[in-house]
Amino acid sequence: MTSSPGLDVKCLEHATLKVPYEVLNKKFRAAQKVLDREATYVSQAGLEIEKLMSNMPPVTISATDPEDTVIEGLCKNSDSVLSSSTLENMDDASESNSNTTDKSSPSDEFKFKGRGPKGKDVSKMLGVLVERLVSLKRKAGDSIADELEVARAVRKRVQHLKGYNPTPEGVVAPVSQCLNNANWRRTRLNRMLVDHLLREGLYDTAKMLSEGLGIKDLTNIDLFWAAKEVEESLKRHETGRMVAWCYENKSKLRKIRSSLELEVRVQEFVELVRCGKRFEAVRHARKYLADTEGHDQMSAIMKCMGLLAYPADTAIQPYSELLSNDRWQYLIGQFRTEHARLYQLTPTSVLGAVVQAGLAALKTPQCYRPTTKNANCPVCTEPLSTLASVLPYAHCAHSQLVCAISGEPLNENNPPLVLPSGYVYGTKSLHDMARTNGGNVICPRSNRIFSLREADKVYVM
Amino acid sequence: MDGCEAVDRELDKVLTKFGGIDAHVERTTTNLIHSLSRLQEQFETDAGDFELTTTQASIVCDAVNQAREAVGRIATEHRDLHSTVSKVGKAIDRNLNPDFGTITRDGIFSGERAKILTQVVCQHLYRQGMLDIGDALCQESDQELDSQHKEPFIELHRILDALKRHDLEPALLWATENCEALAAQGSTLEFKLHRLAFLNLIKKGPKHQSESIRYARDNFCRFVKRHEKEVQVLMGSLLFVPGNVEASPYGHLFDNTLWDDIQETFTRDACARLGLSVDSPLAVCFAAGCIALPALLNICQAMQARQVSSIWNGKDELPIEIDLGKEFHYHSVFACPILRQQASESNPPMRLTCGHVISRDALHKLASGNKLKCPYCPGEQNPNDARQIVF
Repeated sequence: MTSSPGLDVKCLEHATLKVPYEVLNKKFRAAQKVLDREATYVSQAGLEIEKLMSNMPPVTISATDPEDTVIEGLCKNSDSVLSSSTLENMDDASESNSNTTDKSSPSDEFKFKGRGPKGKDVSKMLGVLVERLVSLKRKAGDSIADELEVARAVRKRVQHLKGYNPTPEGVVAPVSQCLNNANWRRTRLNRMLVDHLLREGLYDTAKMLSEGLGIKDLTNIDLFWAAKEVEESLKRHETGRMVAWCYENKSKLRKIRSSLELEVRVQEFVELVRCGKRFEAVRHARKYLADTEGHDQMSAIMKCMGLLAYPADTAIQPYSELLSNDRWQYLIGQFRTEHARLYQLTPTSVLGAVVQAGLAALKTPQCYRPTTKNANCPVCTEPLSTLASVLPYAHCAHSQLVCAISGEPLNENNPPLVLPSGYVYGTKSLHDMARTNGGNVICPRSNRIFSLREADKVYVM
Repeated sequence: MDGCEAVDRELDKVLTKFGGIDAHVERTTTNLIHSLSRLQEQFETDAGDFELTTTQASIVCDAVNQAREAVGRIATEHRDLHSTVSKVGKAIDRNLNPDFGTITRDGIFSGERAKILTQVVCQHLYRQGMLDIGDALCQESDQELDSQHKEPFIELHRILDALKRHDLEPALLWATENCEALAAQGSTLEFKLHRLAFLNLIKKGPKHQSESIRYARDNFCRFVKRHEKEVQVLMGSLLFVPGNVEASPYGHLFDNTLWDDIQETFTRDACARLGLSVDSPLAVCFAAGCIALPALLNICQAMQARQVSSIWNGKDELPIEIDLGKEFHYHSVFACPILRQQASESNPPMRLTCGHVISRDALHKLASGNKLKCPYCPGEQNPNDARQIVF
């Protein structure tokens, strides 16, 4: 089995791109929400004005029906909405006064008056509309800038991945490319280390490492930093941040059928009971626990409500378990799992999976025999050796022979020779030794001395 | 790599479209704000409690309508970009493998083992010379790492840093301290360090030449046996000291390759002296995993299609052979060419009289009575003449 080039990227880098993509998607939804809301505000402000206009004296409306259409047509022809000159003329034409100066909403006022809208009021309302437009412009600009920024961040990672050009087997790459690939691989290990530390909740070290190596953009530090804050608030026995996080990701959490929100609401309930505020607890339960869907959550709620019958220091299961402080730790664990699930991260970190595969592929029975250990083999050294103990051995259908003296491979360039002691070494090593030892070789494993002529050829198919 | 290209193409589209809508929003809103403000000013300056005429009213209505429509269009246009965005996600899912859950044994690195893995990471950080980060990790993960894991690396990195600055002093000191052990492992480190020290003196020019000669006399004598040629070359360079040595035939001694080489030699020999591997075990393991994981994933998909449950069952073997390349061969593994099986203590390799090696089980299977025909050559022999060998 040989792997074609680039397969490792395909297998290992999904999260590298998918996580920032999910962030992009989230930003897109947020931006859409902002735009929709702002558009509604503008629309509302516009409607108010139109309502005001429709309160023109009824006579005028009916009388000017044909006239209106004509003017409308005219306006549409003149490209910009209003050329100031026409306006001024019209202003001169309108010269009616009225004394109403009311600070309340102008539309209400005019509904009852049934008279033509006043310039001042129109101006005020137009001012509101302009304000709304300005806010829309600002917020839309900000949101879209956000989206662009995240999209560029994804891009940056794609570009980084594209910088890796492994050569197919047997093709000799130019030195610069080899160096580049070696560098890229080193960065990959560091990226995966940061990812692993983040997944283990070792946030500070992860940050230090990513900043120290200048690979912050290629890791999900920022995302996990938000998670860190949630976890820290949970450690302080506060639920606020977690609730806010659940709310922020509500639709996604529902999609992955997460019970995280229920868990945190249960915790709030338990805390209320602990403080003796049982009525508030019931109110809390009515508000947040009653509308949960799914029968699997029913038993949790029932258990939770049962708690009301017991004192806060009960030793009876499962209520003492609910009241236990360990539940906060459990909540942190749950949060970590769900957070990973939300961003489609695999249950094991990429580093963990790769190390697992690597250890298994390197593991041989020799790694666990004191006489055949090799200091350079990762599986032979602690603590990796302990980690590998539960993994399967590499499957070996073809002999892979190395010289026990030099560590060089035994092949047609360095054919194996067997000494009368039964130990096999490479021709090169034995010849070197014989040259300095007057034609004699010392078998390092049996400490017996032989003449090189006693060495026999060995053919391994 | 094509996968990345596909994702990049989709991203390109996203960036252009968002760039487009950004400019569009900017333009439209600016225009609207501009025209509406002017309209507003109009009514404001003519300050008065006049009532609007029908014509004015309809103009206002029109302007307002236009604004509402334009804003509605912006929202719709933005919403239409959703498909472009989600195409990026689809391209990522299609071209990159989303899950390797099938080949990892869940929870295998949890609990105690997670701690061990953290230890491994920590040692790796120390190895790479990131001592402060390693310390931070120890602290954050509440682990006590034996100082024996840390101290050798502190010293190694101190010496290596000095070598990078072309300072030989700490390395020479270390080499002298460990002189006997280094000699026993056949290291050339000490000679190489003295060579560089000597060359440094040569570079200083004629004024220091007696010093150079003294240094050579003091230090090179004991290396002559092993490095006769090199010592000759070094002494030859004295010929050109009054002139420009670096332009002489000995010039090659002064470029940076010797310095690069000394760092490598030092790392290798010092690690060997301290019983450490040359490369970080984690890095080696990770590199091996990057080759093994795709192969395993591949076979796993094939096996799942045939309803074979898990490849990680029991403590046996991986389902396929994974060729990691010869730099990952740390042990001699003999696989019997007849049985296609790894040799073991109960089934060791046997050398037939003709030199071919097969496993003992295969030998018994092939033998009939006192006769055995080698499967690879025409020779016939007695199976009892075969000899057990150790690779």
